[in-house]
Amino acid sequence: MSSKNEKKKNKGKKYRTFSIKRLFYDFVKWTGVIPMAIFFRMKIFRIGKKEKFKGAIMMSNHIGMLDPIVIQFVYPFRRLWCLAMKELFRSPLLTAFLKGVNCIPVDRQNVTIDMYHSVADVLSSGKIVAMFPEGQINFDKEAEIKNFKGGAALFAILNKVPVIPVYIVKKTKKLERQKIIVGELIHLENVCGRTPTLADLEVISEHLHQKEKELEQYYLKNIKREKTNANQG
Amino acid sequence: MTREMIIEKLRNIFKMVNGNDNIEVDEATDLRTGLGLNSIGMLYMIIAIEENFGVRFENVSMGDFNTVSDVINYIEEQKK
Repeated sequence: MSSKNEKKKNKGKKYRTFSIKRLFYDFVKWTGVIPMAIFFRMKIFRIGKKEKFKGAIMMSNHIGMLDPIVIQFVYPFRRLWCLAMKELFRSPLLTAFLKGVNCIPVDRQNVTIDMYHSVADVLSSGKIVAMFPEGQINFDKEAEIKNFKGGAALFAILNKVPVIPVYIVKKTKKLERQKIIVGELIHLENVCGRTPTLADLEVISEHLHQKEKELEQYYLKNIKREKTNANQG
Repeated sequence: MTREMIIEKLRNIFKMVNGNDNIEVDEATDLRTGLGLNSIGMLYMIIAIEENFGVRFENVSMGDFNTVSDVINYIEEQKK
């Protein structure tokens, strides 16, 4: 009986392609698909086994202003919430737009608890929150992925949600296809089984950083090398 | 709940967050310099306080709390 009720409950929470509440977000997303398809021509490589999940944190490297739009295509039929720096919310019009497209403001100098509550609410309702744990855009095309800040690890472990590692490949030519590498889900309870201390959070952040680097290495060893060999052949 | 009871509970939270059982905490202890909490540490501390005390922090930022006394004052206000 209880499992029947649970099934009914979950059925109600199932993702709906159309939602009046999220009409603006859906409109912006789906009208944006056409220019994105023309200019970016996304190519997504998924590594490892596929797992079903509800709430999750998507972590990605940050190489440009359009990254929040680019990563929308990793799960095109799911709505994504994104953390955005408070400085972007500088006018009422911009604030309304950014909130309409599911951006949660973050004050990086003076973190507020309300931001955490917003993220926790989104995660508990089974949605995905995208984060860029490097903390800022890494414009240097040759630079390595910067060290991760602890926010992604803290949010994932306290809300008991997995982390989706995503690596956005830096384009070297303007007309090149935008490649995105998506790794296996990372379950942090396997990394730290107890209530974490601050030192544990640093270890977990480093673990996430390593996973992100592994995606970069996968791209360099498998995809880029194959392409180079094909061009030489 | 008295201030002594609150500080005793807070001590346990700071021990848990810092992973250090020998931590010295009194009302004048500075959260950043005394306990070595950065912004993520402060956020973690507040989340732990919310869970342990059953209060909800609203419209506060990490800059609003400098010493343990500030935290106790806030909890007392919320508990009224």
